[in-house]
This record gives sequence, structure tokens and C-alpha cells, in this order.
Amino acid sequence: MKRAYLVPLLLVLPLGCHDDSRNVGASSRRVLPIVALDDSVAYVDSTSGLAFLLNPADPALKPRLLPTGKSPVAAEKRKGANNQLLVLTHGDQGSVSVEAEPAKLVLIDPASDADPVNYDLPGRYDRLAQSDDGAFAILHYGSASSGASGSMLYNPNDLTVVTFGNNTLKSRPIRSLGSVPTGVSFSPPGSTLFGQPRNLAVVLAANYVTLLDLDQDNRTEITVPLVPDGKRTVTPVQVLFDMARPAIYIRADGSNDIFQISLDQVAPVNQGNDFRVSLSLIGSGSALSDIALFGTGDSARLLVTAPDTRQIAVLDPTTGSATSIPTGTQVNRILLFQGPSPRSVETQDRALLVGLGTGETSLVFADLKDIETAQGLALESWSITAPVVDITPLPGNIALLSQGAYGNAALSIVNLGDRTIEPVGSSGALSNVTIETAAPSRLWGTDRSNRLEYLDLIDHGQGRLFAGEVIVDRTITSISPLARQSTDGRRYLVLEMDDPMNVGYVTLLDAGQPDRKGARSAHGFLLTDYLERGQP
Amino acid sequence: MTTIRRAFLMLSTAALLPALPATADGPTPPATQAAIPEASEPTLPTTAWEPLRFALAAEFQTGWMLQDDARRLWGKRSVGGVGLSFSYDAIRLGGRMALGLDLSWLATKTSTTMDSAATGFNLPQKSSTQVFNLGLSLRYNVFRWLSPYARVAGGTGWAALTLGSAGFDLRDRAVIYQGSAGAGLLVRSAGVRVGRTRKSPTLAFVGRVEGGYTMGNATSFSLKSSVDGSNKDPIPVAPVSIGEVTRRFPYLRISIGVGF
Repeated sequence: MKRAYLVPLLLVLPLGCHDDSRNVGASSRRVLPIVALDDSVAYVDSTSGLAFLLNPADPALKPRLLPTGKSPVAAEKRKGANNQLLVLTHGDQGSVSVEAEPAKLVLIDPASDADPVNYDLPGRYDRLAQSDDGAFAILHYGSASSGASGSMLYNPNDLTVVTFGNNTLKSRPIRSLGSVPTGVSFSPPGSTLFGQPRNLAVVLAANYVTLLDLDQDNRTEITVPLVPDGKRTVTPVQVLFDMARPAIYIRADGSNDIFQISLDQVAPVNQGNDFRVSLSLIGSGSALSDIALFGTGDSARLLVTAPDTRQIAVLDPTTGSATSIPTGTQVNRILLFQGPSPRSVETQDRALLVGLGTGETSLVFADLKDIETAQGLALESWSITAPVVDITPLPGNIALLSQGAYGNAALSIVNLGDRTIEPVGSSGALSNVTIETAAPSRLWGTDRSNRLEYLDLIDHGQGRLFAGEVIVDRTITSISPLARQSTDGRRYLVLEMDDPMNVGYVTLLDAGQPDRKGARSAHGFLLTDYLERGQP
Repeated sequence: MTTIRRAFLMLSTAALLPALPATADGPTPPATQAAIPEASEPTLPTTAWEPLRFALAAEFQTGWMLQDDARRLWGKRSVGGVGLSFSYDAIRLGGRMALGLDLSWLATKTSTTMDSAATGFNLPQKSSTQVFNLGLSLRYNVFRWLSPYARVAGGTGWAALTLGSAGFDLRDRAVIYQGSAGAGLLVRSAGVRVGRTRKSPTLAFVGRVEGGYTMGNATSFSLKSSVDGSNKDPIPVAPVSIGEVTRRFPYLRISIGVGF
């Protein structure tokens, strides 16, 4: 009898439980790639318009949230000795119910409690280029389609120069006549022109380059057509500055010549520049894959690789004369260095020449001092076990060769001074390879699982190159060694973990002594203060 | 079976109860007697309004989340819950007023997805609470069958939140405290004796409709990865604070049960 009374109760109990669950997969939010700052890492969430700064020294691993503005499209560390985050946003075009927000460049200093510095931009750019010292940034479009900019009408050749030193920005449309910039090259930090400190930028576009004097933003830009008749298309891809001559050398796909832009001093008129440019071509006779500048003043020479002809050429930019030297093997990349050789203790300009991706199993060392006269005698070939796919210069005249042999990762460490090659074997394919070029020069990688592999690329006194591994809890998807010690005195290695939910999952290791016992993880930190956030 | 039939007949004729005389031990209305011809104890009334001090009821409550944080937690504006309550008329004052105590349990649970339109997160989200309340109510019997009342209650329990799918999720459980104040109407029927002796229990229909406001402590969630158990020595994972949820909402509570 009593059970009979309970029946109606039990029937109605489930009615109050709502279940609107849907079978959904991972998060659909878009998070820009992790940015490794000097002692912390940053994530930028495009959906919420927030930057998450995660300090590994924080015991709670609670990220600091800072607004970036709507629709961030790019985030990167400010170059040079600047421990700051740059975020480029598209803003919001607005609607009847949503107030428009301009595109911005946001400068975030993780060490400061101050609000981020916002530079309102005149266009919704999608490319960010920085000078090597981080003093200048140039924002430009990377596509001529309006969909990329989010604007109905815009000038794809418009760009904006940001000078961080005085917090100014200047919009400077360029004349590339039908194309958009494909890249920007900056003169090396500390350059001088006509005895005065000067910073130049070269904006690359198909068939055109444009010179900007970054220190004199009221002066007009100089557009140089590379193909005056317009009958072919050349795409500039590499720029070398010789500020002593002064000249700029440009290598372009689609051209066998090097474009030399000479800068001659003139008295500025109105908003004109204090230099004028003249274009000349230095012919090499075949397609070029790399150029390098060595020597100074009148002895400055261009070393170029012409892989199709298995030759290198030394070009005198003053006379335009070329000295071709057969290499006997395809080389397409030049690594300049200064140091001794097994035959000479004299420190002088030398080069390592390799054929990346060519299948060649030879390295060529070149002594550049008298190469025009010595020609083939200045070259020395070395055999290696496997073709080279990448080369990374390291401190101490060391180079790391990455070799993709038979699906397994193989590395070789080349001592450029004594020309010894130390092979490094691997039992499996190495992925997520990250190389610290600054000391202590360590290579990090994974075997596409939860196993972190590392290798000291420089002998730190052990008498051998130390290798080790650490097993973490989930598959590693990226590796970010931080450059500087955090406030707790440790330099951290930040590993991104496989995270189907896309809510942020990192594991932190001591980069100096990587060990599972000292590891800590933060999972879900992109949800920090989720309940309290304002609507993006 | 006769007794059950009698009880259901009583419940079904509750709407006719206003016709009943409002005396404490008055005779059973003739209409009701006529509806139960098989009543065979002429010396015992088949219905009674006393003692009926206790009630056991099923609870249905809806709360309206007015704050953004609460709406994000629950994934909706109104959240329903079910539970049970046990109430007792502790003191009856002058025949028309009564001071009652009640103990209740209320469970709420929602399974939804996160607010993807606003935040981009598109994860399964499960939120639930279990709350035990102790209530105090003051009732005034306008009629025997109709009593407006005011009620305050306080209690404790826990709130749980899980984000993600089984095997790879983040979860936390937090203790909550809350108090509420409300007013409502109680409707009840005369009790029906379920036995043939004076010691036989008397059962009556009891229903309440109550509106009020709940206030509680702000609930802070610190989510942590759930461990699947295969890893005996996992790397420590720092919990993630997703913020506090304000626990303030108006509610509507309906209970249906049995008085005895």
C-alpha cells in the first residue's frame, strides 16, 4: 500500500530535470598560436578578445587577462630586448546594435600593471612586420581581396608605420600599382646613412620595392619598379643592406639578376628625401637561391648560389663583374661565419654551403678572403650520411643540420671552425623540433607522443653532447623554451598538451633540468574568470 | 483496495471542499457520505481535519537567473528542480494560525553547452545543485482548506559543475549556503481515515504554491582536470578559477503531497 502512494512521486521526479545536451565536439573558439615572451607565455583568444598572460613562476598558474580589442588576427613578441606582446586586431565594423571599433595594434607589457597601449589604426591590416630591434612596426595588407580586410572599400597598398620610441603612427600609402606588399625588410639596427643614424624599410611587392625612411616620416616614400617594361613578373624575396656603400641588394624570384639600389646623398627639397636611388642589375646568369654579403667598403662582395648550374658566383657590386666557381654539388643556402679553418687559424670570412632539399649528401666550405683568385681551391667538400633539409646556426660557430633520412630524424652538428661533423641518431621521427639558438643551445623535440626529447647542441664540459627525455601526461603539440629566468629563478620550458577542449593545457618544466618530478600543469586556463567576463 | 479508492475519491473531490462546514469536528458532509456508500463504521467519521500535522510532498521549483554569471553557469534563464519535503505543524495558535517547520531537499540539474555565441566555447556543460533546507512558516487558515502563509528557510548543500566530455573534462564541486523568504497558499483537503479504528492514519491532499526570493553565498568554482585513473602519478594540475556565481534569484515553488 505504501509503495502505491510513492508511485506518482517517482513518476514526476524526472520531469524537473532538464537535459538540453547536444553531442558537441571540441571548442569552436579560435586561439592564436602561443607566443613565448622572455619569461612568460601569452595566448590571444580571438573570440573573447582577451590576452592570457601565463607566468610560470606563479604557483597558482592563474593567467592575467588583458583586453586586446575585437578580432585579433596576429600576435607576436616585440622583437629585440623588449619583453612585450604585440597584438594586431581587426576591430569591429559595427552594426545597428554594435558600436564600431577601430582596428588596433595593442602593446602589452606583462611586467607592467598599466593598461595595454592601443594604437588605433586607419585600416584593418592583417600583416605585421617588425624591425629586428623592435623599434618599428609596419602594418600592411597581405591580400587584395576585401574579405581579408573586412572592409568594403580600402586601399590594399596602404600601410602604417608605428614608431614605438615616440608612440606615433603614420599612414603611408605606397605605389605598388596593382599588387599588395609581400613582405617588409628593415635595415639592421644601428645602421647609419651618410654619417647619421638611419632606419630604412624596404616594402616588397611583385615588380616593385618601396623605400621608406623610418626616421623621417614626413618624407615621401620612394617606389622603385624592378621591371620597368612590365613584361614579366619578378617577386622580391631577399634583401641585403650595405649601409656603408650605401646600397641595397635584392634577390627576386623570376629573375637571374640581383637588383642593386644605390643611395646617393642629395639635398632634400620640400618633403623629399636626403638621398636618391638608382637601380642597376648585377647579372649572375642563372636562377639564384640565396645571396650573402661579405667584406666591407670596396672589397664588399656578393656571394650567390646558383643550384641549377652547380655553381656559386662572387659578384663585385662596384664593377658588376662575376666570378663563377663550380661546386660539384647543388648548393642553395649560404651560412656565413667568421672563424678559423683546419688549414688556417686566421679568423676570416668563410661560408658553409648546403643544398637544402636537393638530396645532395655533400657540404661545401668556402674560404671567402681570396675566393675570386683561388676559385676552386677555396672550396672544400665534405660528405655526410644523409641529405640536409634545414640548417640552423648556433653560437660558437656551430651549425645544426637537420636531415630527413628514411623517415627518421637525423641530425648532424657541424663545428664550422675545425669542420668536424658529429652525427646524432634518432630511433624515430622527431617532431615539434625547437632549437634554442642562444645559449645553452638545446634542441627539443618529441616523438609525436608524450615523450619530450632533448639534446645539448654544445658540449658544456661533459665531453659529449648530453641527451635526455621526459615523459609527460599527454601528447605534446608544441614546445616553447623561454629565454629568461622567471622571478623564481628558473627558466621554464612550456609544453602545449593535446587538448580536445581547446581550453588551454600546458605543462611547465625547468628548462635547465627538465624532470617530470618538478613538472606542473595548467589545464583550462582559457576559462579563467569565464563566468565573470563581460560579453565580448 | 477499498481504502485506496476512498482516498482517491477524496482527492478528486477536493474542488468541492469549499462546501464543507468549517467546524473542528463537525459531521461528515452528506454529499461525501453519499459518494462512499460502502462506509461501514457509522460510529467513526470517514474524514477529518485533525490531526493532519505532518505532510510529505514532492517539490517542484523554478528559479529565474537574473545575473549573467548565473545564466552562464546554468546555460539558461530559468532552472527547474525537484525534491521532497517533510513539514510539521509545530504550534497551532487559536485554531486559525499555525507555525510550521519543514525540512526539504531540492535537486537541480542542467546539461547544456556553454554560451558559444558569446564566448566561442562549445563544450558540454553540466551544472547541478543539491540543497537541504530547514524552513519556518506561519500559516493563517482563512478556510480549513485554504491557508496563506509566509515562509523563511535556510540551508546548505553543494553545487557541481562539469565542463567537457567524460574522460576529458574539468570539474568542481562547491559548498553553498542559502536563505529564502517567500509567501504562498496552502490548499488541503480533509483527511480520509484509511482504517477502521481511531488509531488508523488520516491522509489528506496537500498542495502549496509559493513565490519568493533566494539569496546565497557567491559560489566560486575552481575547475580541475579529472583523472582517468590510469596514471598513478599524474603531473599536478593547477585548478582554474572560472569565477564566482551570484546566488540570488526569485523562485516559484509548487509542492504536492500527502498530509497526515
